[in-house]
Amino acid sequence: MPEQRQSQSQGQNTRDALPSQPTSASILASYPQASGGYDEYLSPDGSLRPSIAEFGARLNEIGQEGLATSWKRGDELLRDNGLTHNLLSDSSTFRPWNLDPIPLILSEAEWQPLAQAAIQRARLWDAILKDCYGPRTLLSEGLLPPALVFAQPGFNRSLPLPDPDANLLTFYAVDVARARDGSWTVIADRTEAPNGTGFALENRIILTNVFPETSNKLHLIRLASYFQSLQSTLFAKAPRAVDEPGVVLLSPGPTDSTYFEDAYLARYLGIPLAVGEELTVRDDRVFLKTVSGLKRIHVLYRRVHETLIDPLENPVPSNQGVAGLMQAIRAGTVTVVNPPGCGIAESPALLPYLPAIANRLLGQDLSLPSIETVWGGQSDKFDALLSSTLGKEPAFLKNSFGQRTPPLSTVDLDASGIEELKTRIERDPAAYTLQRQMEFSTAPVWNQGKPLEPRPVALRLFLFHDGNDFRIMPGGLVRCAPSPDGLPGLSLTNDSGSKDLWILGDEEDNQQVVSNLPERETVRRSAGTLSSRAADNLYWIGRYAERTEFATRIILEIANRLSAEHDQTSIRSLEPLLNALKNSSFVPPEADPFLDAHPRAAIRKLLLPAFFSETADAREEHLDSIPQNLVRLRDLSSLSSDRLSGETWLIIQQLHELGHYSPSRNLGNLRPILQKALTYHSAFNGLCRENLTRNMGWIFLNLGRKLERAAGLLNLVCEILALPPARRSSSNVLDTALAVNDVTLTYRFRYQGAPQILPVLDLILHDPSNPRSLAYQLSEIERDLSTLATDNAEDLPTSLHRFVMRSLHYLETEVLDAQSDEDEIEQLDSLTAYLTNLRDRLPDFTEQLGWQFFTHAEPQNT
Amino acid sequence: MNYTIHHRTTYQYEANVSYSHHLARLRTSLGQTRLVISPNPDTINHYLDYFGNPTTYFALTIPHQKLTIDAHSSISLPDASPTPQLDLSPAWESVRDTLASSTLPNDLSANEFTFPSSICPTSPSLADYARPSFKPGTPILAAARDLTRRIFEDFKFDNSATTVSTPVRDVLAKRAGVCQDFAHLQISCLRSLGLSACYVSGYLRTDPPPGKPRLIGADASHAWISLYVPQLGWTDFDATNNVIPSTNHIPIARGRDYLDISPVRGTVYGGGRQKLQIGVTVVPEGETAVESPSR
Repeated sequence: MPEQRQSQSQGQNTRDALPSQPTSASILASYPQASGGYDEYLSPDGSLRPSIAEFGARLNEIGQEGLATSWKRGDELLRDNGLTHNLLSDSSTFRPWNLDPIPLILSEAEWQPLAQAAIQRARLWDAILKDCYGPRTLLSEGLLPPALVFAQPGFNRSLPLPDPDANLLTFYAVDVARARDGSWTVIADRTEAPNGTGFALENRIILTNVFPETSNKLHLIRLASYFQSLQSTLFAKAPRAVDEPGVVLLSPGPTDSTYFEDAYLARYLGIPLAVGEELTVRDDRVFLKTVSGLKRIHVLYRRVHETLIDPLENPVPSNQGVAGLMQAIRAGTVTVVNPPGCGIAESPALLPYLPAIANRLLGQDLSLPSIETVWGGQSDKFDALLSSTLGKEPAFLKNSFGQRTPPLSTVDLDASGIEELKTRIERDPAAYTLQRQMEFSTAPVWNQGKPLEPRPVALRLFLFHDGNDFRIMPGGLVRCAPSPDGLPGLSLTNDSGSKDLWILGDEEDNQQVVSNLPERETVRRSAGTLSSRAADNLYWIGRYAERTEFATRIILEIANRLSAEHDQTSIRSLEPLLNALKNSSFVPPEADPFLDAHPRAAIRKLLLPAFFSETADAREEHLDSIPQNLVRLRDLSSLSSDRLSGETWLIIQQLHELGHYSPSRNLGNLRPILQKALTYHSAFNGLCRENLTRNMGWIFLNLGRKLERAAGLLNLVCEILALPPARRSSSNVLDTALAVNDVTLTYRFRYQGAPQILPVLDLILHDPSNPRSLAYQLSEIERDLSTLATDNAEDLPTSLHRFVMRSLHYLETEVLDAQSDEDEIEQLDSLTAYLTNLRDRLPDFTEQLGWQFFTHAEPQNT
Repeated sequence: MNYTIHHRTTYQYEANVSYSHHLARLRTSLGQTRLVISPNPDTINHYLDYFGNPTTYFALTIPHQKLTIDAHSSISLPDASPTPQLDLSPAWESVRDTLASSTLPNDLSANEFTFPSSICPTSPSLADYARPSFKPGTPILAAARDLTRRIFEDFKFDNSATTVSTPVRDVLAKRAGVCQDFAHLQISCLRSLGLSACYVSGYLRTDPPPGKPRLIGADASHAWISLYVPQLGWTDFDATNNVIPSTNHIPIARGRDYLDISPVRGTVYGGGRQKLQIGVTVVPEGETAVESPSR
């Protein structure tokens, strides 16, 4: 895991004792004392708090410039990981996750009481949920008004009775903030499908990379064992003892703002990510649809909203859920964590009742107080708080039930706003809950070069139930306000920044990463599971990568020719290359630069948009461009980030940035950029060839690459063969064909003199030893299809497979070997017929491939 | 009173459905029901849902273009209970207040039906519509009976006025709808006053015109409401027919609204456009029904 990687570098970096005197350039010296409130770094007397002292000294030692330098690494990591919201939205809103390099720090002694209180609260919510879905003691004893259960849209009436001896709630997160006196208060509870865990992990990995030695010296408690235990807990959740439980993270999918975190977590935990349409319920059991059939799933780490989880039980216009899932839950064949229905505990209206419930259900006082809250159903108290705060003191009105909406600040309302609000509340007071704004502590936020700024902060702490009790992450996600007088937003869609939370142990964190996984893994080499959707994505990653590379190669070759001193005839020899670009829509089909008085300039004009135009609407709609392909490539790669190595993702990111952020988009820059792009493509190809295990995923990636490469080659060769005999045999034309296929040198070694058509075609079509030849592509496709067919070895080859075998057979048996000009023309005619036929049938072939492996039907409700 | 009831639901799809899941609430707890599903499902579960209604889940994985669900029920209704003493029931306000505070098990269960549900919202305008029937101190059952009459008189029965997804506020504005709409409207009115009301789905015995035979498939599913009064329990009202249901109303399921207890629903994969046909035949004991000549 990434955290272990950085610990290796710590040994090399170890320094001696830190200097005790801050220099004049010290960062913290200029940190202003916030007025009156609690500051996480400074005591009221202006000195550093004891838990901060060591880090503060280190920070002062680094200084502004040092921090800026160190943070460059953090910035890069953030960019590389692409940890951004809405990854798939258009590139203009592409915004890196805002992380502040200065962590919030608590000593273990400060942390423990908070951690214990959070654990108590998790136990309390679990007990409340079990009661609401079980005996309902709280209702019959009058400790909880029935409305707070029955009126909640998330109250799940198809949930089976909970097991009184087991936990119902598995994942829990709590948002806390610190008041003036340093005490902690809960702002909100998250019990539905808490998010932020992935961001907390990401923040930690980046910060320990930026401060490798400091974090170690300070005895920072690591997160690894929390996630290890989380992973083994998920596997242990399988309803009955199974040797290899199927565990997936069920995500709402790429259009949702949590998707990237989902993908990040899934990859870190080593479990597949699935979206609703990849799962199916058969015979009351949940299955993942894979290219090799249905695979049983026992545990669902649910990230889809509970009300969307089963369109059969709760008909909603959404494809995020899985029809029949509640039946599988009822049948006990699958464990869903958190079970749909836990979200009712997120209602702020419950908060006023917690202290009495804690006494009743736990026999304990509630350790962590909640933010001052009144529910609209508590008429007198509600009216009192409303009238004392409306337009006077800061308070927030929230919806009591249903999905979270942004709270309404009551202090900013004018007279008419107040009247309108009162009328609204009067119509249905129970639907509203009012909370008095609480105090937040401040912490220093770094602002590139400027003095540190005290900004209000709040913490989200993460817990899960490991089967025995709740466990808390020794860290968390700190959110800071966007400005010194703002409020820290706790929803992930809020625009405020984040920090890491460091808990410093008294001793060095020597914890061996404990794992509940089997001590000894049985060696196996099975291909694992590949969902049909993942296969589809990988196949298209291969196709887009290859398509981009092919276009890049052609454009580079044209640019090379144009920049060299060549006469009109040699420019005319670029025609097949341009036609190949037309056929693949990179250049408008009607363009004919050779009719232009200045063909050289006209061609350049055609090429620039193909390489630089980012959006379809910048050009005519049907035209393609390299940046567009790179966007698709990056989007698909992010969908498959659980299957691609970090390096592969990095190369794709860099390719994408090359296309999008190249400094000046003129002809002078075109060639160096194209050459750089080809270097990245070569690196990508190398990774595909050398670094990926030959599993099912690889086969589909490879199929995509080989099919696209074959298509590109056919496209170009058919254009060359379509030229009149004199021109197609010209060395200028043949030279371009060799160059685009990267075999110029091979040809020179093999044959002396100017290229001739038959040897050139043999090299780029028939030669099985040339990895860019058509024969090579077809034999790879043939091998991949055989591998996919091994399940039914006794079956006849599919029509797809036979088509490839036939095509390959032709290339293997028909040798280009002419004794006369007539002979040559005859051979070229029959070759042209073969190639044209193959080219024309490829689209049909790829469609059939899609039907065989990827296609699913869309669900509809009746 | 004894009945035999045949309820046939047919889905016809434009293209093959590759697999599908369905929930049916067609079985009765007042007698016996035989469910015949074609094609034969490969999974079928019978259970009681949250509200205690007999529920059937089934799933098909064989490709099909037509699905038929036949429910043959024989039902034995208790003999007509005496007409409730409407005027002797407690004042509606005291019922509302008891419901809000009582923690007795029956009252708590009924409390669930005082809150808005997805189809039955609560609002001041719905309360306002109900108000003329619910004057201060009015005995609750008398008030509910009056509301039933007013909906019957104020609203036009019109198949074309609404669809299954027409919201209650539109029904209130249009003053037209079908039995489902009237039930949802009445429930929403009662809940807007803080009262507990549930949705009842079932069948209605209809009699053929004098001298004509009873025709197969001529009947339909019906819907009405039930109101809870502490100690008295549940009393049914049918605004579509302006009656207090007795032995002509055959209840099948109860829930907060139609969505909780729709007779048949499903999620199908593939299939394209679909056509739904429903035919219900209610035959009182000792009578028979004949095929309609047009069928």
